Amino acid sequence: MFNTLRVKIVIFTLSFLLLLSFVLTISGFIHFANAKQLLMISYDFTISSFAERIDKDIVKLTNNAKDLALMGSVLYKTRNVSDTNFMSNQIPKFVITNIFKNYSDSLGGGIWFEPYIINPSQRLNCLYAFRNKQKKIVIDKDFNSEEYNYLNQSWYKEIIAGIKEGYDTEWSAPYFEKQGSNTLMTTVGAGIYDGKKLIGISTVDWEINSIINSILKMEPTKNSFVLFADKDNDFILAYTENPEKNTSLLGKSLDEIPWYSDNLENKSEITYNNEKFITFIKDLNNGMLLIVNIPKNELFGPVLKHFTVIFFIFLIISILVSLSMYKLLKRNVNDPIEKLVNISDEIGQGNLDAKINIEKPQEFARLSSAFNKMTNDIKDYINRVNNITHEKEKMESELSIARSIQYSVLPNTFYPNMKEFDIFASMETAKEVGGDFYDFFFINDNEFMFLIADVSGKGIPAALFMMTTKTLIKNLANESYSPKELIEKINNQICENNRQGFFVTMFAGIININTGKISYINCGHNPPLIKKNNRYNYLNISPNLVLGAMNDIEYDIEEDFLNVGDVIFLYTDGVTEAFNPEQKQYGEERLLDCLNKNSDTDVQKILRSVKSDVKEYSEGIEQSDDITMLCFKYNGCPTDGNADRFSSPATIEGYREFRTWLKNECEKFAVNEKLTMKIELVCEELFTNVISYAYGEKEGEIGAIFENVRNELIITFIDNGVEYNPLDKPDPDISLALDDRPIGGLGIFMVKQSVDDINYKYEDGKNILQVKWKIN
Amino acid sequence: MEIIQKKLDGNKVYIKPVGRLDLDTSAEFGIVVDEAIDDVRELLLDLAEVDYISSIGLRVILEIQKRMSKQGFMTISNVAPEVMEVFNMTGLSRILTIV
Repeated sequence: MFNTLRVKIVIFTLSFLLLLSFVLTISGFIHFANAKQLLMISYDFTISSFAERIDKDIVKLTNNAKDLALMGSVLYKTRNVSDTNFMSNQIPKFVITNIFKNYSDSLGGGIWFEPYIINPSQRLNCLYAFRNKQKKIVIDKDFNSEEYNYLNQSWYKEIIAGIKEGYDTEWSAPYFEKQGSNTLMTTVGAGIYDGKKLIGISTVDWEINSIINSILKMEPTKNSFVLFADKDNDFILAYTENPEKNTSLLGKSLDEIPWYSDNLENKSEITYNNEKFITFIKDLNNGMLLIVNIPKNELFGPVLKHFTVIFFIFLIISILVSLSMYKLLKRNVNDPIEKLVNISDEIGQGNLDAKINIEKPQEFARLSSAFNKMTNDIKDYINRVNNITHEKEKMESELSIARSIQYSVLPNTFYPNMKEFDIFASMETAKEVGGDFYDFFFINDNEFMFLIADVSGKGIPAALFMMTTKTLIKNLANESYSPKELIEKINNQICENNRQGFFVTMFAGIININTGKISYINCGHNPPLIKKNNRYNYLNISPNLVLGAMNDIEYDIEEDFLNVGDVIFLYTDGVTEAFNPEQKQYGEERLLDCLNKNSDTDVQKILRSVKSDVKEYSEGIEQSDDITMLCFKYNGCPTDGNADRFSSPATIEGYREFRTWLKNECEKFAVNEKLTMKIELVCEELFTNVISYAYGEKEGEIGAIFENVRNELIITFIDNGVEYNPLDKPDPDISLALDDRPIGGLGIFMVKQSVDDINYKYEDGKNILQVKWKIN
Repeated sequence: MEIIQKKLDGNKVYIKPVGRLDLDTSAEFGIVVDEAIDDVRELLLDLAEVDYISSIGLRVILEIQKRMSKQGFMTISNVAPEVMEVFNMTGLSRILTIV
């Protein structure tokens, strides 16, 4: 749950917003503190200016008192001692009423002398004017009366006691004036001096009610209250209070208020009725105190409220932003992702037609179209791959059919019991079958045919053509044609059956396994290698035309004899044209080297070593053509139990013995008379030949072997004389006239005419001459 | 080998070898005939009793023929098929007078 992108983003946003609000709160608190201070200053200022206004009145009243005192001393100086009614004269009256016109704030005021100062006969001398209810200034004469006796009044006593020198002023404690206006008053007085002698006082009355009224109006906050105390803090003259708090403080001294005396010292904060108040205390010029108490929560409440509101608004906004972000993310990220996941699952289950359709937001719209494109591409790709796979499978099966055709027709037993020769062949088909084949079989009792061929073209058609060709060759070969006839017939028949224009290159050998006589037929094929006297060489043979190219072509057949141990190595161009990674071909030279380096005499091993050399050369490059090889080794005709041996000195006496022996042999093998004579003739000639040439003047031996192998009579003559091949001798020209004819040279000529086969070899210091006849 | 020879008249001789004309016998036959044909103009060689001839026999006959060609002529008669075959094979039938 906490690992989803959506929750992570929301948590991140929320944390960011909370951090922001925390920072804002801190800064809010700082601002709040500043605001508190500012608020305090502002209230202090308001209250101070209110106090100042009162102070101004106080100063004015004080100055009025001083003015009056001056006037009093003037009156004293201008007194007429004799005039007992001086104070009732017009002049003092006039002066005081006019002065009072300017004392707008005072209720009344007067000049009061000490006893007998103006007139020694008159104890009380005063003058008092006041504003009546009509705001008219009138003189009150009643103050001069003995009943009132201003000298005994508290205010007079206080003031005159308080004044110490000139221009000193003194404020009386508040009092109720019963005589005049009958209101709560206080009076400021100044001393009247004659020189240094205090002779009386002037007074200016101040109706405290008016101040109280204005104070009462002062209500900075709803539950704040104001105290106004007199100069000795004895009495609370005025207070404002929440009407609900029904306790009257009026008339009490400040000391009587426990919270005041307990809390106020050096503090600006008090607790009253379990409520905290901020207290502003102002000393007025006449010693009175103005104390304004504002409930703390009312003072700072609005600011606190302001900040709280801001904080909560911010909090709400944060939550809203987070919620909407959550929703936004859900709608714009999670839902599309969910869709994508579902579609992916569907596609994963194989439904490639599943389409995703997201239009908003743009990124996901792009993603979804890319996704759709991807599934389309995958679909196309899969289709393509399927097609390719299908094609490939088809091709593969075609190839494997072709391959199996090719393999199935190849002979796979290699005449293991044949003593006269060893044969082995192998074919490795290329991926695309190349149409190579080999074959070997007896065409009659003595002649063995082996061949290697390569059909042009590849694949099934080539394989089928190869099969046809192979069958055709084998069938025709059994018809006892001569090699030349055979190959020409083969060519003609291939041409006949060749509508596709295939052709075949072929190399074939037909060997008489008794005599080693071999006929080579090369139809445009790579010349084979032949090992004679322990050395391989390419057989020098005319190539002839390929088979199947043209009708009625003459083919040249070349004949030779294979000696015991001779090897023929046939191959197709797959061997010599095998490529290595540098795109170079294996080549005929390397093949020759490979064979000559190898001392193996076993045909299977010879093939294997060539194969591994080709493989090593091509270094893993894929084989491009069939690699087909055939190796034939001639072991000669075995001299087994059918062989009879003769030996004698090479003399005429020896010949006589030989004749008898030969006759017996012919009888033993039931050779008919005619052939017996032929054999006799040939043997005599060969015997004569040895007597004549082999040993010169020396004596020597002659050996003969008479064999009857598979309906063939083979007679071998062996001598230790000088190497002499009678077959090298040119035949005599038998058409010459008598005189031109030499008398010799006919023997070997006759021999050649009389045998079915003859061959000569010189081996181990021996002349070995072999003649053969077929017998039925 | 047995060689029958008859002097028919002053310079005419009849010779009839009996048996094989081979390595073993030809030398003897050659010597006998050589002696017999001294000053003879006509030689009648009857090969009726010869069933085998090898190259060495041919050689002798060729030598006799060469000599007789110089001093007269030679006629060969009653040639057995086996021998005739050899004559044919070697081309001698064309240079010998065979009746």
